[in-house]
Amino acid sequence: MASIAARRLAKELKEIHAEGCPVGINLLKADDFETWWFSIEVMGESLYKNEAYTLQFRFDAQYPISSPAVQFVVTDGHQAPIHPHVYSNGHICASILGNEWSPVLSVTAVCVTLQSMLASCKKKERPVDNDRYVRHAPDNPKKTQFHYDDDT
Amino acid sequence: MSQTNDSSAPARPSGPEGSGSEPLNIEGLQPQVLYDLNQQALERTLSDGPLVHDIAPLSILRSEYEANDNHVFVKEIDWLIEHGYKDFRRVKGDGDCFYRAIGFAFFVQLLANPDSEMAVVTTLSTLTATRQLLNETGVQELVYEDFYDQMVALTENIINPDPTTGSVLTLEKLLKFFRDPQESNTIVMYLRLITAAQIQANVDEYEFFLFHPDTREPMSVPDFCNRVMGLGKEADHVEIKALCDALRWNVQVAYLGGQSKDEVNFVKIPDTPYPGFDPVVLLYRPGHYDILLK
Repeated sequence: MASIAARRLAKELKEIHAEGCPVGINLLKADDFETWWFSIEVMGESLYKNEAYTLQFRFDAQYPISSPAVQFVVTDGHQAPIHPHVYSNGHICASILGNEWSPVLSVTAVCVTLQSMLASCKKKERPVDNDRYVRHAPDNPKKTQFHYDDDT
Repeated sequence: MSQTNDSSAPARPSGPEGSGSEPLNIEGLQPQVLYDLNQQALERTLSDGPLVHDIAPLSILRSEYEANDNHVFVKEIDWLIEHGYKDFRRVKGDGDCFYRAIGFAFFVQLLANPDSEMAVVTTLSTLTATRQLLNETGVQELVYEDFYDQMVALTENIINPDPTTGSVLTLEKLLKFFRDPQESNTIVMYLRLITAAQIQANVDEYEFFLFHPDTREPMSVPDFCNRVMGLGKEADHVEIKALCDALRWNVQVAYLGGQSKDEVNFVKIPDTPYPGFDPVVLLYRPGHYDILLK
C-alpha cells in the first residue's frame, strides 16, 4: 500500500538523485520514508561561514498535505546553529513549517528557505525564550504552537 | 448509517453562559459579532463527526436555530423549505468545507448524470486542461500529480471499474472515500491547487479583490495563492469564482446571513453558467458551507 506520502517522497528522492541538491545542501540519509537527513551550509559571506549543520525531516502519512517535522539535529556531536529562530534543542520557528506550510513546497525547497534564513541573520543569538521553551518542548516541533514574530 | 449526531443538543450561538432562556436579539448585532457567534456554534457542532455527513432534513437545522431563538435564520430556512430545499448534507467545519462540499457534490451529480459516459468524458477533458494551467503557473508536476491522478481516477471510476476492487463508483463508495481524511484531502488539495493556479493565471481579473479574510488587508497574488494552497484555510467568493472558472463548474450559494429580507439570497457563480452541468447548490452560513438539496 503506497500512501500518498510514500509516492511523493519517492519522486522527490528520485529528483534529488537525478539532479542533485541545491548548492550548499547535501543528502545525508534517506533510506526510508520516515526520516531524512541533510547537511546544510550557507554559501558566501555570512555569520555561518564554514559551518555545516544537519537538518532532520520527519514525515507522517499525510505528507505533503501536512508539513514535515523539521529540526536541526543536536545529538551525536551535532549542534543547532545559533540563530534568533532556532532553539538549542534544534527546533525552528519558521512559519512555512507551521501555518504557512503548503504542499507546493518540497523537501529541498524547505532546505533552501532555511538556508536563506541563516544567510540573512544579523546577529548570532538564541531566541529570547530559549531556556523556557527547551525545558518544556515536545519531542515533535509540530506540536508546538509557535508565534511567528517576523518574516523569515 | 451510524455517525450522524444531528440529534444532539444544538449549540447556542447566544451570549454569555447563564443568560438562561433570555432570547438573543440577533437582528441588532454587528455582522462581526454575528459571525463570531456563528463560528463558535459551528465549532461546537462540527468539530466532531464525519467529514461529510448523511443527508438530513433542513427542518433539523431549523429546529436548532429555533431552540436558540434565532428567528432570522429560522425565517430564512423556512423560505428555503418552502422553495423545495428540503434536505442538506453537513460538511465538517474544518476550514476545508467549501472545497470538500463542492467536490463531493460534484461527484454526486456526476454519478446521477443520466448520460454519465458523456459527463465523465467532458470532465476528463477539463481536468486535462487544468494540468496545463498548473504547468503554466509553475506548479511542479511532482507537487500536483498525485492529487491530479486521484481526481482523474475517481472521475474515471464512475464509468470504469476500479482495477483493485473491480467495481464502479457508487454513492456509498464515494461517501467512504470522502470520509477518509487522507483520500478526501487529496481532492481538497487538487481543488486548492487549481484555484490558486487560476488566480495566478488571471492576475488582471483578480488582483484587486484579494483580501485577507481576517484582517481585510489587501494581499499580493503570491501571498493570497499561498494561503489558498494550504489546508484548512477558508474560501470566499474569489476562490469560488476561480475554481468554477478553472473547472467549468456552476455553483449556487444560498446565503443565510441574518439579513432578514423576505427571501434567501442565491448567488450564482459564474453569472452565466457553463453549459453541460447543473449547478451544485451550497448552503452558506457565516464562515461555513454545507450542501443544500432539493
